Amino acid sequence: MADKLDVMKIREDFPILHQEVNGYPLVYFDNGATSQKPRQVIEAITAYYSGYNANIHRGVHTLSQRATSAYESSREEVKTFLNARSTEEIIFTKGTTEGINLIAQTWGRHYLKTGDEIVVTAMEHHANIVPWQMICEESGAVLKVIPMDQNGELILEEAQKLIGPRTRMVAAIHVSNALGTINPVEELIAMAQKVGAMTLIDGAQAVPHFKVDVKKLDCDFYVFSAHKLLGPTGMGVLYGKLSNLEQIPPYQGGGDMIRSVSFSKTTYNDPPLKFEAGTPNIEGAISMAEGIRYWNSLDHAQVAAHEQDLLQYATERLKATGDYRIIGEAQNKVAVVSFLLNGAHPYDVGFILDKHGIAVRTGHHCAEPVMQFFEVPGTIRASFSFYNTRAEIDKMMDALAVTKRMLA
Amino acid sequence: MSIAFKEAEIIEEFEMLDNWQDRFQIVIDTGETLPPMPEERMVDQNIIHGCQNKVYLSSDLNGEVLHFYGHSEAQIPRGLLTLLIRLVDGEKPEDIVQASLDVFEKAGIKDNLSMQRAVGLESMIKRVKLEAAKYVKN
Ligand SMILES: Cc1ncc(COP(=O)(O)O)c(C=O)c1O
Repeated sequence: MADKLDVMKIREDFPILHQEVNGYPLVYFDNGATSQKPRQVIEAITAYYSGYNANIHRGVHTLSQRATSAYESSREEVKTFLNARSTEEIIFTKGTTEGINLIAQTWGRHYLKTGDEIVVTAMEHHANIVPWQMICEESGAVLKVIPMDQNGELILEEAQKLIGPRTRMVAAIHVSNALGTINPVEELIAMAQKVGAMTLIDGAQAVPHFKVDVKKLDCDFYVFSAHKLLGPTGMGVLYGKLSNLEQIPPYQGGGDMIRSVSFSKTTYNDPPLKFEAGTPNIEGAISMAEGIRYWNSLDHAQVAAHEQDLLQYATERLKATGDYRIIGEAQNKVAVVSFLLNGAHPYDVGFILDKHGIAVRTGHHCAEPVMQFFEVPGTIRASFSFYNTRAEIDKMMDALAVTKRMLA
Repeated sequence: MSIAFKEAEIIEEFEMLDNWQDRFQIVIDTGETLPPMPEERMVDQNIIHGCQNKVYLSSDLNGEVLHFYGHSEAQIPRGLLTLLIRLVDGEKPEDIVQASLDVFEKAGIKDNLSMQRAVGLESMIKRVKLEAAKYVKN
């Protein structure tokens, strides 16, 4: 048994899991939207506010120095987590969305010209579509989309055709939030590098499930949100190669991002502070690092085995009856199942599951083009974490059987 | 039949049931009785915003009274919409505007709507009142 993840012990670290919802023990299968937080993360926030709350980078007093050093050591933690070369490559943001907007608004606004091309995939989250559309409208650049097949896998031959001399940026989702597909981003990055294009990888759904090494990937930018990785909301990371970060203009103006200011001339700070104007989310950074430490304390081989077991079990059970249609059956998937109950609107299913204390996401998952591709109004998405169990999947299947009867 | 009378009828129907499952079964089954909405009425301007799935509502003045058409893809919102339409269909605009339309609270359905905001029940009620208000001169 020593080689198996001790899920029951892990669950003790997550206070929120031990409650009833609508008279049933909570089954939380909406980890793709946001993960729950271990008490270590919750305690880190309390410890900061009750022990050393102060503004950072500006005071000589002891509390300010403690807060500054905790904030900056969080950067160190993230650097190690992503295997970046230095902490200068780690920019703190308020999430994945802001990271992508930052690059679109700084790099994009500075470098894009009419006729330039941005390449995304058919399974992007809106956060990796709309910021590019906005900058395309402004600059005259054009958005191109790598198509996928019915399994929810990218068609790489098409990517090969699309990524060409006009391509300036390939911005791709690492793991699809709607389908669970793990994309071969290494190959997309290689294609982009061949034509001298930049690369940005949306890792929001990747980092909660497996080890990401930005040096090995060799992408130019990598973004994720802390709240999907055991950490707080309003906090995220933009990784960028230092050589790029030095080239691109700053994002917002204000305190912390400057070296000196006068009314005639202002000089900017070096990365990462150049991109972090104003008082940042200090407790966010500190508790994000605590979430990463928690993640690091787990045996990742055990986590992967457990999550794949949940995925396989849920898939088998859904397929056993013929009542469900699974959307997204890629070879390489994280523990996410998107499905439909035949003849039922996902919304009704989500409603009745909630009545059974089961939290799933229903709707388009901020990926409307994916729903359009599969010609469905939305799906029911069960996204698992390492703290979920087979017994919880059984509860979902029981509740689905009731749902089926009610909606028949 | 007045709105108040129809309201009492609906409340009576629901009061007999003591669990959410039976109540929602009635809501779902009621939705099946909603007449199909004519295709030409299913246009963007008739979409009720604030619902997670697409819900349509439109109305016609028929002599002195209003006639309502509605559609929803999902069954639970469709059932709620059907109950609401049952309440106001064939009524005078000024009566609809003045009605409290809080039958869902009284019938104990709203208590069960933990996803009330998502269901868009408030948006449906507001839209019905707005439709009626179009015909009320002041
Ligand atoms: C793949 C992906 N990209 C981007 C986002 C947006 O993340 P956030 O809302 O934390 O900025 C999400 C979250 O739903 C996501 O799943």
